[in-house]
Amino acid sequence: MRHNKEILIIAFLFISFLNSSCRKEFLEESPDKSLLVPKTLDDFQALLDNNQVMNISPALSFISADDFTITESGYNGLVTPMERNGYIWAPMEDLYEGRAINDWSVPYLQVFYCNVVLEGLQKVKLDAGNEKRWKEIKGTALFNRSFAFYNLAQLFAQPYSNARAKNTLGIPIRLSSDVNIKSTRGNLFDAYQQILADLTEAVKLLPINVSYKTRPKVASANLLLAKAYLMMGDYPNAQLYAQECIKNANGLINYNSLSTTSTRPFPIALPNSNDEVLYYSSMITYGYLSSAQTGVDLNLYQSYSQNDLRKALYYRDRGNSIYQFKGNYTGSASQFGGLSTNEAYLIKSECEARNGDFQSAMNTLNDLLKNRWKTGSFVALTAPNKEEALKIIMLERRKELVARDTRWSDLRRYNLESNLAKDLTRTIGSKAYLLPAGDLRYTLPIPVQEIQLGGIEQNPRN
Amino acid sequence: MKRTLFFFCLSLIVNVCLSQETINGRVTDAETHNPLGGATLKLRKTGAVFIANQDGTFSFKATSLIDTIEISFIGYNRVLKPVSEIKRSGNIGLAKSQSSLQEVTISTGYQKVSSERLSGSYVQLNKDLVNRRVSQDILSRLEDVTPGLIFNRGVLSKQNDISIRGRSTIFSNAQPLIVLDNFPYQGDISNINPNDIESITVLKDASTASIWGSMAGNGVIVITTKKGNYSRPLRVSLNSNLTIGGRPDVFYQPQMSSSDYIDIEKLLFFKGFYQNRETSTSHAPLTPAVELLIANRDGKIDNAELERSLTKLRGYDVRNDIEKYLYRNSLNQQYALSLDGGSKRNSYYLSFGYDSQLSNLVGNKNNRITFNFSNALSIIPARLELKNDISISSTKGLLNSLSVTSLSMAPGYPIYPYARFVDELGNPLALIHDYREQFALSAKQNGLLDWTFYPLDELANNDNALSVNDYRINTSLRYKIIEGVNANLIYQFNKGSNKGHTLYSQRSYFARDLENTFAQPNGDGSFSYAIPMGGILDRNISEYNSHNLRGQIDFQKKFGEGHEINALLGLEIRQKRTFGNVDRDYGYDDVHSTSKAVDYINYYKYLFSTAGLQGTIPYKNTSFEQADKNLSAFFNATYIYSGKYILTGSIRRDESNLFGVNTNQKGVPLWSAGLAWNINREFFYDLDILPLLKLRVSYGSGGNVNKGLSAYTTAYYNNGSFSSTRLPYAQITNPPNPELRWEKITTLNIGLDFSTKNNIVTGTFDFYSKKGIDLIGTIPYAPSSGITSFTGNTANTITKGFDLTINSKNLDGSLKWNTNLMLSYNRDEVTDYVTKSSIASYVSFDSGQQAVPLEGKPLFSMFSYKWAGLDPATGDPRGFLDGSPSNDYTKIFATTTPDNLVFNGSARPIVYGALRNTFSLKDFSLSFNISYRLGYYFRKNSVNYVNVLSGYGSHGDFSLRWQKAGDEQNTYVPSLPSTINNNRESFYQYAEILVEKGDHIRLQDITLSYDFLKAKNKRLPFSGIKVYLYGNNIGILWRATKSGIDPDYQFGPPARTLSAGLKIDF
Repeated sequence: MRHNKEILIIAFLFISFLNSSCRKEFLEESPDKSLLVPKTLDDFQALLDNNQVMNISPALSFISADDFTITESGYNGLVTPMERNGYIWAPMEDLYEGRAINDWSVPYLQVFYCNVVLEGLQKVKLDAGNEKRWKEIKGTALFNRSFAFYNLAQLFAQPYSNARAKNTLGIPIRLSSDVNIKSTRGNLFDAYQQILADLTEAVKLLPINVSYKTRPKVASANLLLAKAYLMMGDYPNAQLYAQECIKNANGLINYNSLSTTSTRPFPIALPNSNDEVLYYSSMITYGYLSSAQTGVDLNLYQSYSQNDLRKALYYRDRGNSIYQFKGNYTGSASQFGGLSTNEAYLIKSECEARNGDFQSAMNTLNDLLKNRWKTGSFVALTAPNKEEALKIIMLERRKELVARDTRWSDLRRYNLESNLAKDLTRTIGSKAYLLPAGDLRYTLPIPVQEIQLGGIEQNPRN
Repeated sequence: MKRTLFFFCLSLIVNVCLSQETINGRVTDAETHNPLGGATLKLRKTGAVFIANQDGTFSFKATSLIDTIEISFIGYNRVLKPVSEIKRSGNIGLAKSQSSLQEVTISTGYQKVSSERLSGSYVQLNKDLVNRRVSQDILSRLEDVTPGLIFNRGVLSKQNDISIRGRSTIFSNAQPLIVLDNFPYQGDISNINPNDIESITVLKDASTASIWGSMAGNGVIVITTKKGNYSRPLRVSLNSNLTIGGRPDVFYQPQMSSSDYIDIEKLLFFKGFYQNRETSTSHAPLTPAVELLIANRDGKIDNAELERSLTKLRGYDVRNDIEKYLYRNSLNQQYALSLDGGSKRNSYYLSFGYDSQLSNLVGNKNNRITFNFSNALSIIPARLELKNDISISSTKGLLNSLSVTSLSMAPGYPIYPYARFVDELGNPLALIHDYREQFALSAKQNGLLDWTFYPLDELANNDNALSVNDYRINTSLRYKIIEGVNANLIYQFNKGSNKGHTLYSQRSYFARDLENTFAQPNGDGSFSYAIPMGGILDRNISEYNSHNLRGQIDFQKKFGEGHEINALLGLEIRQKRTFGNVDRDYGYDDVHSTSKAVDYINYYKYLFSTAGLQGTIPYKNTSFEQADKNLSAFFNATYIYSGKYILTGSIRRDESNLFGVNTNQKGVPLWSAGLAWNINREFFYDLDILPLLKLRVSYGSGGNVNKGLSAYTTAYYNNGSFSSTRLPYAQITNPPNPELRWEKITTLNIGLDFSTKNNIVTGTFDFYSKKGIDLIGTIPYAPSSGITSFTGNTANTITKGFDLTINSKNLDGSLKWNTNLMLSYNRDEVTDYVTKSSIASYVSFDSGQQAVPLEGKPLFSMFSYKWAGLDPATGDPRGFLDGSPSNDYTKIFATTTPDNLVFNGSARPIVYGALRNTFSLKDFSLSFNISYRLGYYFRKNSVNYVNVLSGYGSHGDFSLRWQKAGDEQNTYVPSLPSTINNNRESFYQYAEILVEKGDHIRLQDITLSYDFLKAKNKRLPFSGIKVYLYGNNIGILWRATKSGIDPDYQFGPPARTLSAGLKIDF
């Protein structure tokens, strides 16, 4: 009998051990201290501060646009099908020859991170101590998601036209981090509405000033809103937000303060230099962008006046009439794909002209340009009418924002207006290539992985 | 004769008279006289069967006294006796059986079980088999003596890569669990001295292994160390041996000759290939031959001198220097001393081991000291026992060898074949390394540190040391609560550390190179060094400690007639913490052990770069901390009826701190069930020729944990010291996966054990079928989800096979001859894997990191492109396009699908095993082991023209290449293309023609020993001395390939070794 009692005691110990709360605590410890399940504001901030994910933007637009050309031997040395086929606007549907492309997957990775953050924020208890930070993080996630959607729409959806937007295929707007949800393309109108709504909210949440260019601020959201409205042809709103942006930004750089002989004339933007940079993003690297055989379009190069500092600050003479771009706002070898104040001036100016006030438009443009010319040499530009003003502004826009991803978007929207439409041509050796205005090839195909595994509709090429 | 006849007649009469007589008796152990309850008694004539009572007594009514009765009991020899004899004296003593198959006690790590009570599949290696080989590690002792276990070599294998019955996972841990004494061993297995090992048991099926639950999926290796025995006088044993090994064969893999290499360099030079490097802004290095060609072009040397110099270079082969200066013969020494014994209440085992290893790489050596103390104390005899074990292992190693890759001219650029380490007079020579010769030479003149690279100086200056320490303390308490019920409490503490120390002295190239790179010109011709003068010291420390606690109750009860139950129930808690850090000191002064501060923040221009490349001083400090926690509950029971039927079952639940999973999902229940039937104990069984026949069937599941995955979104935290904002950031590594499950491996095992009379032939046959369920695999995902690949439970596999072991005593006179044959067959197939990868990834999986599974094929499958021979006109390799030979490689690749690739077969052996013959005559013993691996394919290396035309050199097949029409009759090596053609190269490298059968038979080792026994030589001061010789890696006896390649070692087989040793028992 005595022994039975002992057995009972041991059995009791076993059972209580199995159910104790110690057990839960024991198994709760992380297997690796550097691992985390994002739960706190610090975690979310750390996710958004991953600049190798968040501060990257597509570059296929750079390859397909008409600002730059490559020599024949340079073209033959291009390694990826994206560059080779993208450069000549190849009509094939499988433009990337089966390769996965970062221009599609990286923005969606950004969307995924933002959705993880936005969902996680809902579970964080708000109090007086953390409210400011909570808002900033939410604003950042909303901004970053919109930035990704905006970039995707420029490449993979047709240009926005008010008449057709509701019947135009959009881009998958993913608002949940659940990877099991199937993507659908929706329509372009809804896609832009989502961007506008998120950015409008972000404006209310973001801070006026940030200490890191990789984080967005109010002016960044203002400018992205202006860009989106510009693409939608809503010029009054575009002008409004461009003005807001200029108000909230830190002014322009006077290019006279920079060294024209330097290989990297602009200050390294990160963490917090270059007053004009509102939001830092660098383009995905392709050999085409950095090749010494890639040079700016010669007509464009010659359109800069000798007293225009940009001619020397932006380009490096590589011989054989190759003028390689060196004026990256990143301050490094990476191509700048982010947002900067000069773009706000150009949007404001264009919208003022389009809205009928071409005098103001020229004033706005001159405000920008006087910072670009050698001190004392600048003569303010004038225009006799709206059409002339618009022409001047469009050229100056191209000269100022060269080597950004804006040119491709601009071509797309200009093509919707018959007087601005332009056919593009290219030659490699003896072979000539043509991209007529408004061609379907202005919309890039979606990578085959997405089509096969996600089952969404492909963009037609011809 | 007459008398006999008379008695016979009498007994006949008596018999008739005594019909229906009651016969009483008692069955006992012949030695101890303990009763053997449950023993079976069988009357041969009538077939009637009786079971002895609990106290061994029996009683039955015999109808005839001329009948014979057969008495048997598990673990004892069967006895036949005439009934008449039993009637005279009812006491029957059974002798313990000596049959190896019956006697063995198997340790599962949780309990010791008589092999008769097991329904599963296991292999037991006893002391003799463990000690058959001479080696300093324990794992290699398993090779070629363990049926079903194979050391993977060749395709995607790592060091000590073991598979038991094939592989049952795709991307998770594939190695079997190693249990040392009671708990999974947490340290480095090379810390264990094989001389301290009593036995090794390999648990192969679910029934034996599943007691280890979620760790058992790959099989379990249970290692038991030596212990003392109660009531045994002191024994002292000394074992010492010496092993000498040859140098590796540097000429094994044919290489492009220096002359061919220089011809290619000439060809490339005149095409302008080296112009980019010549004008490089980083002073990229050029070989001596190219420098000569440049000098000739620039008019600095004339044509005659160029040719003279090149001819000289053509005559050198760097492999001669490598063989002479980087390799040597290896010399290993092993000394092991042990003492054991015990009184009635106390037993002990004490051992010291010293192992020294002088590697065949000049500069590498290793010393290991091991100490073990084990003590058992019977506090209350037969009631309370306390055991304590302490183990210490300490290894100090020097790793100063110079690897051939460290001599490469630049990253990715191998050493040029005509390099030399010394000149004709034996003076050290510099190699071209990282920079052009003139730049490296000018550094010193310009006031910098010497920037040249002398391999032999490096070898002398290297200062890399490693120290590994491991401690293990094991305490267990066993208490008998009542008869048949014991409680055990076992605790084990492990602690280990691994400390690496790499000191690049001021004289080392590494330090000089880094210091020069960060030297900043002051403008007046002098330099200031951002990295202070002195050595650079890298320290690498990793430590672990683990606590293991187990509470267990064993229950044993016999009841009724021949019923017996054995059960155990327990709980276990294990925790392992690993932590470590890496740090670097600059300006290190080894005399005073001091270092200097450096600026990690600012960017410095690299001195070698004329393009203004810049960087920060490398910051190497990192640290980590990991925790592995496990909680398990387990139950195991065996029911035996009359020694004939054995029913086993086990269930276990494991929980671990899998990250980001709800507590209730952290666990997995795993179970097994088995049945064994001792057929020879059946009353109808009458095969005298097979006194042992046992059938076993088991089924159950084991698991495999993949701690890299989580059900929640998980991210890696980075402090951002290298990011451009220096902000801490997080990287999502794992998207949420609420469906995540543990990998499960179910095994069905059907086995048969048999033994002929007097154990002339004994054997075991096991058939098994293993299913890998919910295996972790990676599938591509639509990128708009945010991920491009998804890792989850995406695959299933099935593995079928058998293991056969046959041991025979061919001769048993004064000359003894024993043969042991092991044969394993194992075939696996991926059964459920939706993903299709690219053609290129299937054919080239062996040059990647991991298997590329294809549904319906073995996990490791050799695929190739169909070969249509060389083009007779151009020497281009050709494949088939729409059924006809073609060299349109792009189209061939585009039209090839996984289904019309050539599937050669498995890339890992399907049939493998060994044949061991042992002869002994008087005190001599000779044993040799022949191993074989069959039914698989390997890919030969051949010349790679992309490398040739990149100036890297390549395989010696270059000299066999197609050069003119007609050559295609005699060679399959394509012609040298005029320019790099990646597609042509990928086609040839993965063409059918380079795939060969890997089948081979190898004479692995021979051992010869002689025993001096005191019994025979009375004057001997010891109880016994054994002298032995052992030769290992002897050579291949037969191979299917005609290429002369060892399919298991494409880059050269391990060197032969010869050992001589002495074992003295005092």
